[in-house]
Amino acid sequence: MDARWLAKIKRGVIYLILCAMLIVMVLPFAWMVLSSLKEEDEVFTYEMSWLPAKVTFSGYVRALNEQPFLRYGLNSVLVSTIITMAQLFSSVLAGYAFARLKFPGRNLVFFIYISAMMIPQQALIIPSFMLIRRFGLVDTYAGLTLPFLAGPFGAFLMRSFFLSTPTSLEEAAVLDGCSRLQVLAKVVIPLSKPALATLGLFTFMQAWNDFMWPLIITNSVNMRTLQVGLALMKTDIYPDWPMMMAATVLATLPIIGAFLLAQKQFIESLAFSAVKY
Amino acid sequence: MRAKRSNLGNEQTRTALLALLPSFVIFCVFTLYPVFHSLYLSFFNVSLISSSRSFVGWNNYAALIKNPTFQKAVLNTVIYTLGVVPVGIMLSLFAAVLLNNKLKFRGLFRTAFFTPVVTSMVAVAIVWSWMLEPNYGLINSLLSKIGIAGPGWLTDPKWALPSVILLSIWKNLGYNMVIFLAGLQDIPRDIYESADIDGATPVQRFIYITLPLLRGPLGFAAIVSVIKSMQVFGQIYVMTGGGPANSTMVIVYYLYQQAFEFYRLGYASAVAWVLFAAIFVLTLLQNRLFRAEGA
Amino acid sequence: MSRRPLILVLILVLAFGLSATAGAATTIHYWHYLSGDYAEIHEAMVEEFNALHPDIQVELLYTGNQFVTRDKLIAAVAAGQPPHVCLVDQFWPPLMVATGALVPLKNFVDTDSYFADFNQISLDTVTVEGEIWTMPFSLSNQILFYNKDKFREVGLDPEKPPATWEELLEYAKLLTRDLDGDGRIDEWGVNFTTRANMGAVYTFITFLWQAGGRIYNEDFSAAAFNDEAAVETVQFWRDLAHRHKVLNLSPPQEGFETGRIAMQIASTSSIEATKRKVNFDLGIAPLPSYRQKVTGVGGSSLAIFKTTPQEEAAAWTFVQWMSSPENNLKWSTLTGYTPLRKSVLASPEYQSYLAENPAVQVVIEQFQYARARPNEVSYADVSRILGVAVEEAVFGNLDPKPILDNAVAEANTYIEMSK
Repeated sequence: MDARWLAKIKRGVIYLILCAMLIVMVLPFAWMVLSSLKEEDEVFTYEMSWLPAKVTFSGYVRALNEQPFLRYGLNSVLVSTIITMAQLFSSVLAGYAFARLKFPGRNLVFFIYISAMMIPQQALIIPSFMLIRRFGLVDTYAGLTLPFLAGPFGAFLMRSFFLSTPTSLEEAAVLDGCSRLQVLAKVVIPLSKPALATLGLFTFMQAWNDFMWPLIITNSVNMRTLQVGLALMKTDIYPDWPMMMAATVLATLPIIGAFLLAQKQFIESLAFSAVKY
Repeated sequence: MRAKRSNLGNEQTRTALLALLPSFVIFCVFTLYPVFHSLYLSFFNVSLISSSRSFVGWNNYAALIKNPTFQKAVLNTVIYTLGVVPVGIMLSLFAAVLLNNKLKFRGLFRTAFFTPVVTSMVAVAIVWSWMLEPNYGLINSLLSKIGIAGPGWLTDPKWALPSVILLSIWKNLGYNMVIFLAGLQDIPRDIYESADIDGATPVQRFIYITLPLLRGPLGFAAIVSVIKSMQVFGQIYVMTGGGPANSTMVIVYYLYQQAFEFYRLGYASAVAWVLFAAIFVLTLLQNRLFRAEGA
Repeated sequence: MSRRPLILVLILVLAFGLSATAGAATTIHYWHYLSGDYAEIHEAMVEEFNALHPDIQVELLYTGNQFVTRDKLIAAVAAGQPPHVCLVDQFWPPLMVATGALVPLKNFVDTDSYFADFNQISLDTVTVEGEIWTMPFSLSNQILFYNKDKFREVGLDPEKPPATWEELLEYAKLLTRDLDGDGRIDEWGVNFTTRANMGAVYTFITFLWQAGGRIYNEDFSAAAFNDEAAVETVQFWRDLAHRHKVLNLSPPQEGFETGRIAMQIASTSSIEATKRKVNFDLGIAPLPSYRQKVTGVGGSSLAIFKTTPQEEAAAWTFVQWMSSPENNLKWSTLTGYTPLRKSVLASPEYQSYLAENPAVQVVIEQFQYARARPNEVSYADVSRILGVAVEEAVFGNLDPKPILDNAVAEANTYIEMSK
């Protein structure tokens, strides 16, 4: 009896602590949504209220009208998609070469690849900017995407995946007379869907959330991605908070929605793609 | 037989080179070349707005070390890292241990804790700026209800950096938690059961069983968190712009400001290399530390 | 004045113009950083221009506040993709000239005769090394806005605004009140921008000049903002915030407009917007002064960047139109900005605006002691360092002297570099 009570109390305490943490974790999102539905002047009151006095979508209207907000969204979708597709393509090929093919210098090149994973993006940003400028691609989609079309991490991840899968099917296909690239296309890729999904989601999220590179490489308003558009909206001396919150809701809702629908994949790719190696 | 094998080798080599080509070209142009070009630039006086450049030797590095703003940036980055990493990891571990019990709504908690991780830094930094707004923001409004006059979180030099630290801990909590949770689930139940038979208290169990067995995930989380912290930028850009009084000036923001607001590309490249070197050394150190212990 | 460039341009314009007559209208990308009420007035002007000029289409692009716009503009110039026209803040011309991307206005017109109608201070801010580089567009200075109702409430004469620093402090003490007795101040006496990245340096320099201080020494070879006057100025700000607690370093947003702040130092450019927003008796006064009467000049001008002769010519047509007598009059009366043109100032329309708004007369009178910020290339760095130093002392509540000494030493390294 005593022990059961103790267990119950313990359980209750755990729930209590977790619920407190839950509130802290969720509150900012709740506050974001609630503020986005308020009138512009309603937020400037010392008597804080949780719920809007009158629900209004005028913040959303302002967010969409005062800036090319849909264009920002479109830019983000486009840029992230291009980067993801190209990363998948280049990483599968490179990973396959590292995992399955023998060629002179393989270990050396691979060593350089993994060493390069330690280089912070910021250390490369100035020369990359100068390169893009020399190519005349500042403020273009090409400039936004080029540096991220391939990367050592993707090649590394795919190599690890290939090394962990059995080669018997591939060998059989080679014996049937398939070329290596045919084997890759017909046998390896169909078997790699989980790894591709992980890498794809990871790359997409990184590209979607990237801020520093789009900030420096875009100049005109129409080329800005969501993150840049949002951040620069905040620079007004007197921000229109309901509008800002509305814009933030619009910018985060698709990602949070996708996360709620496919939690496992998100957690897998964001948290564990890096752990696996 | 021999000839055939070497043919095969050639075919393989050709295929391999072809397969590697897209990745390798981008890698060389946008990773390898920039690393060395950045080093090269750091010895020159290069401006964003004029084409002239002059060799200055180690001057950029010398000026950097003497510059009070850079010194402040390094100090703030260290404080930020020391603020975010240990506290963040402890809180994540705490949450993971709690969630590792058989609970109803476990999935709900995990989802809620992980949501900030998928949200962009810019977006959450904007939301937090609004919550921390001194006069009408949520936090000071709540504080005033219990009779506390909250500070100007982002406008007071004493509070600005702690506020940014708070946001970063909140944003990354779910990431480390999920990693620890997976580590905890890998620990076989029977180890705990035998400890229970020996009469170990929960705290003893945690210290003598859980922690040692979580060394791998802990080391990983520590390295990733430290590297991320050294590169902090987005939340600074959005929330404080490095101010007030440089109280949130950090290395990467300083780099950005020098390169793209004051056009000193050479000097900023020196900053980039100092950052790179620091991260490199730290990673090696941490790697060694946690590998040696983990072995 | 050499006319050769002009003739050359004309020939090129003709050549290109003829070849382009069959084509579509010339598109001019125009970047600006105006937001809120000005933005609407400004946009209406651009739309009117487009309607009147079927062969030129001006595309208006808001690029963020002036700090963001400056960074984006420099980056675009560095990338060789500048906009055709950009609105530039008062102290940018030296920097813009240094990039080599600006078209000097003498390429289009004989500047001596063209700008004869413009007042001298508007030309000072756009002149670098003896040449006029950008088209003045708006001109402002700093004034004191005050809430006459609040003055009455605390027993101050609403027609006697503070004239000195001493009075400013004295009045602010009376106007700072905890109305409900909860120990929390509900109404603040005075407000001005104190955050460096919100432009506090502009206000600070005016205070500094009033105290008899200066930023640079005589020959601009070193920074000089650590003398007694500078220390005194920073100390005054610090005292307002910490010792007397009449200045809120995290002021409530729109605090003046909503009656939570009784006096505010701001630009004349916000006169009309403030008038529209407030529902109390608004007072406008010259800046309180100290050893010298000084007000800081602000404003903006329109820069034309090197593109093709045809586009440059279209850009020139546009910037001329924006500061034409009619539009300068419209812009001045709708916003509160001061007229650039002597003819506008003297025009019956503007005089009747003044008669209806006697307070604006203050602004015009103040211009006799208005001072523009130094046209130095190192100013961007020096003002950043100064701004941070002021923040450090004021926000950190610290002794200003050592902070200013260090800042001057740091600023000097940049001044040396720029020579």
